[in-house]
Amino acid sequence: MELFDNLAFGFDVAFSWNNLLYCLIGVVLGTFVGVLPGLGAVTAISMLLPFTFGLDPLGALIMLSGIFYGGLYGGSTASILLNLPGTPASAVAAMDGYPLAQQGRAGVPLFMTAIASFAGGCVGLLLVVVAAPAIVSIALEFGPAEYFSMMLLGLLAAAAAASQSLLRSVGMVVVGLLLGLVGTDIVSGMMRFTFGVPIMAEGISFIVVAMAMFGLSEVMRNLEPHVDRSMPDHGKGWLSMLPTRDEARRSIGAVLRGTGLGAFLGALPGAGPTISSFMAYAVETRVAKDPSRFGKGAIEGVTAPEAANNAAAQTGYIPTLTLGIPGDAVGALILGTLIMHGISPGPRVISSHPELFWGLIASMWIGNFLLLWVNIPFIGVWVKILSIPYRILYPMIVIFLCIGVYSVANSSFQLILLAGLGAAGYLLAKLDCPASPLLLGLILGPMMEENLRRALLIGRGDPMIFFETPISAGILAICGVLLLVSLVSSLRNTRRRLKYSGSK
Amino acid sequence: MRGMLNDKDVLTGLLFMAIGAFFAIGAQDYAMGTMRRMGPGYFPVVLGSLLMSIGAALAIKSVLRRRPDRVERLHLRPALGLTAAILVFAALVERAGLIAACIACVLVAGIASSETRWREAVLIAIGMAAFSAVVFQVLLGLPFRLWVF
Repeated sequence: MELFDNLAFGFDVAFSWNNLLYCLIGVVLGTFVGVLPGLGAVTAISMLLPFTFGLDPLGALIMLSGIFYGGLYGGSTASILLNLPGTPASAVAAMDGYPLAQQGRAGVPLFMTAIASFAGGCVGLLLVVVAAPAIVSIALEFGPAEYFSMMLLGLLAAAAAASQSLLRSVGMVVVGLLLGLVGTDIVSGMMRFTFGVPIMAEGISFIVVAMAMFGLSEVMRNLEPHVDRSMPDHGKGWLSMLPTRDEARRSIGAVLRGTGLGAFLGALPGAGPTISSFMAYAVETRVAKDPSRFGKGAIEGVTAPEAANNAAAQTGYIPTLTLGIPGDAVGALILGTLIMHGISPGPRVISSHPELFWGLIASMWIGNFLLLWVNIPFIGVWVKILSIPYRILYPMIVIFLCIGVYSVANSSFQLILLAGLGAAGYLLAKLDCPASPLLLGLILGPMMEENLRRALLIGRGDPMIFFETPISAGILAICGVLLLVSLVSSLRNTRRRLKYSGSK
Repeated sequence: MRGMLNDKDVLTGLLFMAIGAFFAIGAQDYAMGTMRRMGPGYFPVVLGSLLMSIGAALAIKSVLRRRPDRVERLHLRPALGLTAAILVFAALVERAGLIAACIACVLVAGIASSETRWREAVLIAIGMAAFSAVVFQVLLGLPFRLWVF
């Protein structure tokens, strides 16, 4: 079996001392940042990305991935204990986890999320291993027209998922695409929108944008005076972790349903961990015999979404690694890292860098396992970290941002960009404009333009080239359906809102 | 009509229109080329115009709806305090070195929050300067100069 050979090869690579160490560091750092109130997995990756520059590509990917799923896990710890989710993905864990914490049983959801995350992550990885090579064999046939259509679909799906208002998030995608144009045009060698600043010739670094939008402006919002962060009084003995027999029994089905849903949704472009966990919660409230328990501390409301978001986190790597088209902000950051290390993303990554792909997969398995050992025995430590006041934390975050951004190109100019984009990100957040479509657009922009130009060159300037091959035409048809569906649902939402506000 | 200027959709629409116009007009300096052989100006002009129309659609839709969705209050203190802290770091890191930049950055960042206790801030500043010097410069070998005279 080729599959097992590949996996064995992957574990061989991942079990080297260096890679194990990177994995452990990633998982611990990710959990640490994820636990910190108001910071989530995406912030964790963006903040720590520059410090992986010195590593080899595999080491960097292993560490960043560890930071990612560690951050997801840490984020749910913060939502369960504080009702203060760092990210929307972990917001769901607060809905039933926090009531349990208030009942003095915080240990139970914390323990169960660890188990559920582990189960979800493992199954998600299994799907990656099986599906990725199959998708690659299709993707190898892709020409520029297919790539362009695929990227369009990815961007549209991400936009539809990011915000209630489709116009807004599509607008943010376009802003990202435009920012991505800054720098040297690959075809003509012309400088575009650089305003004579030499360092702008290389374009606006996605790292600076990610740090500004997910780091700096996030801190600005957390510092607004009304944000409350007090720990609930747990009473004594809250660290007892074992669920009741009834809870354990109910969790099994919930974990399985959540895992299946998350693994499926995660592989689709645009639908990442966040949507998966919300959907998993919705499914649990439907299948439960007594839906009224939800919101008051039902264990399925914690385990199903956690399993789903970890499964989705893993299968989210499928489009990023096989097609080079990230489904969400994290995928975009991983893709950007690949490009930065000189690896051109696409279906050839697996065959030309097998150690990268299989090593990363194996390391994520190991990482999910490490996560159990980092979390369950040390929950007390994480809880202590949670109680560090924000006034002490945020200056440290700011220093990390400064040093990270400076080291991108060793230039103060990047810092000025960080300050400007951070303030812009704060304003955009006030206008309800989501940041992740912008980041996706920024990273995909140059590739999209290149493929568009190449496709039209091949098609002699006739845009019908995009409809001539069945794959490209099919993808564009999906784009059309997606647009239509989101338009109809947004119209329906508006009407409902109007009715609601009219009846008041 | 005047209340609409405070509306989220109208403001977003205007912002999108401005950004779109900036790129579309800025790209006039670059060759457009043809559909078959696109010049460097083609994609930005198309995208800029697209963004302008998205912005216009957002703004018009909301003006027609006449139900302003007001923008939340902006808190200038955190926004300006943190922006200033980053700029101070930028100004000092090459001229005065990493240690001075860290200390100044933490102290300026303290302005951003009303909860800051200044004695604590001084300790954090010194601690972060020492931490950054040891971890980033010495251990990770990032090319910082610690002190510049």
